[in-house]
Amino acid sequence: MHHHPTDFQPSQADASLYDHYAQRLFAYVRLSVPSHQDAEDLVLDVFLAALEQDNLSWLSEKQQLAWLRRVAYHKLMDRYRRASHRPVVSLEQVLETIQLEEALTPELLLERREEIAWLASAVNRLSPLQRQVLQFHLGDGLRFADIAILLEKREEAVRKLYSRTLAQLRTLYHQQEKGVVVS
Amino acid sequence: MTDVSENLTSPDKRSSERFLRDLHRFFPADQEQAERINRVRTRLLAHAAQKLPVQSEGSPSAPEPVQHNAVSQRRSALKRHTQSPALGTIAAVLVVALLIGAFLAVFSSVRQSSTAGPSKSVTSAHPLTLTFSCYDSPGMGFFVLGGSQGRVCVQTAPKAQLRIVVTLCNGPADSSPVLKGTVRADESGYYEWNWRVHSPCGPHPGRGTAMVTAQLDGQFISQSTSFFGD
Repeated sequence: MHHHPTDFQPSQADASLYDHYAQRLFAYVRLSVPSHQDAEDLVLDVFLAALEQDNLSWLSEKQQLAWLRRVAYHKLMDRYRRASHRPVVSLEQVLETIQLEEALTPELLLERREEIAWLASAVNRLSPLQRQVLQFHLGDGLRFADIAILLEKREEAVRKLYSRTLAQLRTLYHQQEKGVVVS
Repeated sequence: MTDVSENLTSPDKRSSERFLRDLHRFFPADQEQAERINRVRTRLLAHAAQKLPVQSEGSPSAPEPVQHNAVSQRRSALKRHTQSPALGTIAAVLVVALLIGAFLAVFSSVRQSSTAGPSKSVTSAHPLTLTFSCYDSPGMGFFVLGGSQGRVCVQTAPKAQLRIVVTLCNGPADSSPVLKGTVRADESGYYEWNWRVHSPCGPHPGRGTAMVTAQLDGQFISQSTSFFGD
C-alpha cells in the first residue's frame, strides 16, 4: 500500500505524547533555564528526541515521564552547566500586585508590606528542594506523583516535605501576624 | 472532603487564606504557559512533517512508514542537530571523521580481499558503522556533566571491539582507567563509557574531543565527536 503524506499518523501520536507531558516538562525546565525562549527550545529538543524513540509507547506513564525528565536533565546539564537559575519574584512586584488587588489604605499597606517582607525572607531561607516542591505544586499545579518523578524522590517524601514546609511557614506567618517575635 | 480551614474560626480562616494567597505570589503560575505549549507544539509538528518526505523516499510501498531502523533514526536526529549553529563544528568534525573512517574501511576491505582470496568482497553487505548516540539522548553522544562526570555513548555493530581516546581543552588524553584498553559493544551494538573526568583545565572543561575506533571481522572505522561547553 502506498502511503501518502496525509496517511502519515506519527505526528498525531507525537502530538499526543507532547500534549500529555508538555506542561510538566515546561515546569521542570523553567526552574533551570534563564529565559522562556530557551525553555521552549529545550522542551522542543526533548520531544524531538522522543520522536526518535519508537519504543516509548511500551513504557508506563511513569516511565515515560521519567524518560523525558532524564533527557531534559542531560540537555540542561549540557547547556546550562553553570546556571543555577531560580525564578525570583521580587518583593516590590508582590507589593504592587497587592496594592492593586486589595486597594489598601496607606496604613494597611504598610502593615501588609511588613507581612510580605517577612514572608519573602522566610521563602528565601527555604532550601532549593523546598522551593522546587512549592513551585511545582503551588505554582504549576503538579501532582505529588509527578513532582516525585521530576525530582527523583519518593512520592511520600515529597508529600511530607511539602506539608512540613507549609506548616512551618504558616506557623511562622501567624506568629508574625500576631506580633510574636520571629527570628 | 472537609476543608481543614472550615474548622478554623473566621479570623483564623481569613488569615489562613491570606497566607496561602500570599505564598502563591512567590510561586506564581506561568501565565503564558498555554501559549508557549502551543508554540512548541506547532514547531514539533512542523519537524514531524519535515521528516515525512525523507521517510517516504526510496520506500514508497513500505507497509509501515512509521517504523524506521535505528540507523535512519539517528541520521535524522543528527541531521537536525547539525542545523543548530552551535553544533555546526561538531558536524564538520563528524563529516571529516566519516570520510576518514570510510577510507580506512575500504582500505581494510581491499587489503583483506587481496590476502584472503576472492571470496571476500570489497564492498561488504554490512559495512561497519559507528555513531555517537546515547540511548536517552539520541543524536548526542558526548557529555561532561557538572564538569566532572564524562559520558560517551556509541552505537555500532554487535560485539564490535572499541577503543576510545578523550581529550579535554586541547590537553593530553584523559588517563582514566575506564577509558583504557579494548571493550566490546553489547548484543545491540551499544556501549557507553562513564568516568570521572581528569581535566587539565579546571572544573569546567570548555571543549573536548572523543575519538572512538570500532573493529569487527577485519572492518575498521574511526569516528570523533566534540563537546563544547562554557
